[in-house]
Amino acid sequence: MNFTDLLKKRMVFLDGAMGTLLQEAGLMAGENPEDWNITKPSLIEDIHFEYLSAGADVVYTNTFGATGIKLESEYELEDIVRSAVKNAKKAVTRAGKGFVALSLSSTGKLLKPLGDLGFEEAYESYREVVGIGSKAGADLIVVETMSDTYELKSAVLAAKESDLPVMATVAFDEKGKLLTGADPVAVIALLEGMKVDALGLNCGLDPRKAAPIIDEFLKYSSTPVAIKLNAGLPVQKDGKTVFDISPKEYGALIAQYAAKGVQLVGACCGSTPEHIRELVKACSSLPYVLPVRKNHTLISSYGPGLVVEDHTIIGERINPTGNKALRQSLAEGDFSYAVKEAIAQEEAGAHIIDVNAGLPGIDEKAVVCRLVSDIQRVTPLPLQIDSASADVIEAALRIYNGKAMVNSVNGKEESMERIFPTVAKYGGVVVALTLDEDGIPDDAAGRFLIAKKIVERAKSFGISKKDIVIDPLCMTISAVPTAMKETLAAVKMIKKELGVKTILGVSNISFGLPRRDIINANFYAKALHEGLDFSIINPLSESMRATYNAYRVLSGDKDGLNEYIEIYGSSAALKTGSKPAQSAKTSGAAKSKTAPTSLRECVLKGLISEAAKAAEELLATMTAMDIINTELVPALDEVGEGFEKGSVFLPQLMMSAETAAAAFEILKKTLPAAEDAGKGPVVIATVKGDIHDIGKNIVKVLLENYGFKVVDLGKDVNPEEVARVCVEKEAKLLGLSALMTTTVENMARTIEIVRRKSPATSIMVGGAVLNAKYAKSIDADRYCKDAMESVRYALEIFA
Amino acid sequence: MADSKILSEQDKKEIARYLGYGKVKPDPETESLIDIVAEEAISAVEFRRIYISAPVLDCADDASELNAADEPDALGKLEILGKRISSTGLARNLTGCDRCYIIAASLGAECDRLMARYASASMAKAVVLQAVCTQLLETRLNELERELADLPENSGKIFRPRFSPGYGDLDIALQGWILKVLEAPKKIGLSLTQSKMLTPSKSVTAFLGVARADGCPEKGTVFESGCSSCDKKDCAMRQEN
Repeated sequence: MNFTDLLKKRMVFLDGAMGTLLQEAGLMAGENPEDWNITKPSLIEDIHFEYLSAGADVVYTNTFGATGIKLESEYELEDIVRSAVKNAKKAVTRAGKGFVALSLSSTGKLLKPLGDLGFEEAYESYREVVGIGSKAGADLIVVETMSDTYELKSAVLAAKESDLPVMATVAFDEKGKLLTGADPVAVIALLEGMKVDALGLNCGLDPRKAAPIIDEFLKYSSTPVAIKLNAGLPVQKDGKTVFDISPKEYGALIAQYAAKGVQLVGACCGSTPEHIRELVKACSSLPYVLPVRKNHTLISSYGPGLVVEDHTIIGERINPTGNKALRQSLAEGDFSYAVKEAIAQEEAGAHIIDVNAGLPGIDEKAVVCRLVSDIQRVTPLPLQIDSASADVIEAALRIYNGKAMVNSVNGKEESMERIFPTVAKYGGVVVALTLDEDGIPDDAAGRFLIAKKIVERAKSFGISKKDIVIDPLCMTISAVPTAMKETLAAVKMIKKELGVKTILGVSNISFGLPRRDIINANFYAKALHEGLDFSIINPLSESMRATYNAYRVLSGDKDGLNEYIEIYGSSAALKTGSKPAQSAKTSGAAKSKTAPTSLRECVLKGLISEAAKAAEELLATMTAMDIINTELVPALDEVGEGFEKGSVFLPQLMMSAETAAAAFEILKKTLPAAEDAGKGPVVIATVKGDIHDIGKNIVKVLLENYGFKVVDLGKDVNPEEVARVCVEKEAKLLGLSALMTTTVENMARTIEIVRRKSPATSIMVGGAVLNAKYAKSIDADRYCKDAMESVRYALEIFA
Repeated sequence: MADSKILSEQDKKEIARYLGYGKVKPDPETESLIDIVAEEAISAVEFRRIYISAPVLDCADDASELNAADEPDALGKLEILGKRISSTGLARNLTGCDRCYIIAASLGAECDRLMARYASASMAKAVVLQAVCTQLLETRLNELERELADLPENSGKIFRPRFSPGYGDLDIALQGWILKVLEAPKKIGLSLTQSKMLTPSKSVTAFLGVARADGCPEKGTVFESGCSSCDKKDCAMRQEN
């Protein structure tokens, strides 16, 4: 019988702690436990054997830290992993039973964008171990004690490259979160999406407090659930760590959980073979039940997962079609505008953010992947990857942190054959359009039939109904008078007959009509009351938000009612239609009661909300250029000089800068394109190896204030990339920042390469560990002690 | 700041100092921004820490070690958990200590995410957040020290100022060793980048010396820590003890 057969038949017993026993046997703090696979093989084998004798079915190899990234050992990784599997297999042979699980855990590094380890590097590192371990004869692979969903995904992907069963368990803290923010729903979404054979939790929190988390797993998981918890809490006693739950107590405690429907049980830190013996004793008479199939649609990012129960809004604004500013910024390789759009949509109440970069002349795959990474750095909302290209979808789905939505597949066989395997591999909730080789049927019944075909075809790829969302496609009402009737009839039919969720791009209905907002809102209201599950809308549109807010009240949603009162109860919020608390968060500076009279004063005091109004008022009597020259620039100069003299401080300088930028946004609309072009470009970057970029970001804001076009390459940028962009943009000025002594050498290397490839570029540098002398020694043209000095130097270069 | 969402006056003063205000009182707009940002930061970040208590062996008495060719500098030789550490700064800090705590602590990934979010929405908030989190981390570490001071084994003991790798002549590379010994990546999600930076960025590793009550060489001895151990004498943030 293999492991998968056993799992179908009865409760599976996993082993207990390895590290704890090794420490008792003399392993020192900081010493590699993995080395003992080679130096003390019989000791390791004996531990495995004792667990098997105590009743364990599965023993984990002593390879917790064995990845090329983490392991610092005098022995080769391959020898360690091979010996580890061999030791476990010998124990299995001795015991005459049992399975060997190749254990993989964290690389000990934080993945990008928070840390500096690339997703593919992590994946390759795990793949190497999986290759060695499976060749050495492991029966299954366990990915354990993971505390970051992104690293978890890379490890599971690598594990799935083998033909072996894969189990994955994570370590929650007392609040039921992973270290990088995911909750049980997010973990289940990710792991079930990737089709692991068992999932669950290990290590981490106090097992006496694990009930709520285990309940979440049992509520949402259709996959067998594993628990392998610590023998209580570590307590320091005379410099030694001991755990406070006895074997008997542990057995009784876990049996309670097992009785609720857990399929695999074992123990983690602080446990001994005795814990496993008691555990087996306490659990073996329990009835064994496999998990029932759950029908929740789960979507996730790095943070808490989303269970789709209520109507879910997908923000549509990151789409270059119909968004000129976004189109322009993406074409220039500037991702900050899109990131701001993501934050704005989140604050306006979107639940998911659509990401589309279908734009001729750009590398869509690279742009979408970069957008996914940049947006996942700043918002916990899940994303919808939206592309007509299956290649783009596959690339983005691979590097996405979590289980994304995918837009879209359709009823054409070619589309389904290409998209479904990708979704089946990486996980995802896929939007399916009701069109096929014969086009879009006119009536609801025709679209229903395509939906039915799609659902059935998806099943053959192992994708269940809960992960499909049908878009019955809304036609334009001015062209097709029955558009609303047929679309909403299809929504109803698909939900009722197929039991799948539905989605619509709401604003298609009004194409070509004046005041589209009126039509959109009315159609939206109707669709909401017909039970539409997802809408793709502009969440910044006041009328759409109002429609949604009203729908929640009218459908009897108590929270919706409370939020409605919160939003519209105060007169100040009347106009915005978003939650007052949210709008307060976005407006940085305090509001003053008496509105200042001049734009200049707004900038000096950093009064952002008043500045736009002041700018608009001035436009009635002055040209934008005059306002810039007589109001904005003098005010900025005054603040800048104050900063240099020490009478104005950094937060004020930044508030003034943002205020000026807000005013400039208003003025820009009336400027001829030529005058709006800006000076520059100035290329800026934080050097390779350095992930602290606040100084560079301050410089960027000020340079933009002074009308410079800034190409921001971000942080941790390769020297070659900096040089390449300087050449491509024919940059007259490059700004580099580095914070640490350990990264200043990369600054020197970057300068050296830029000098060679782009000799006409002047280079300014800044950062905490630099000074003028050092800057000169690494061949920079200018050391700028603060952001204002960067502006002065830029003005000098472009004078 | 422990259980409250409100900053103490002392916290606010420190935050203003980090923002370059020195002894100047910030303008009302900045003060209000500090409050807004602090409220968000305090609810978003999660302070996580791990520590162990370790004996400190002073190797200065060990004549054979002193004469070893590869360790020409006789001063400042310590051994902690089997690790030879050569630093006059740390040795001076740990004078009179037969034990120390090795600590790693972090405000977590959420702090960096919030920073990135602010950096794209409002740099004013981003610079304030930077200062708020520096102070938040400091306050939490001080709370941890008080928690440790209350342990029975520390009664009658005096703590030295925390001393971190990178202070004075204490090699910054020791951060890696501390993380490994404490299993910090696994336990609190704290790790090093290739260029030896701590991630998440608002994090600390440190030694905390536990001295016998009579362990101070002479009354009034000032122990190097933080600013006083740093060579950057022209730093705007510098505070003299």
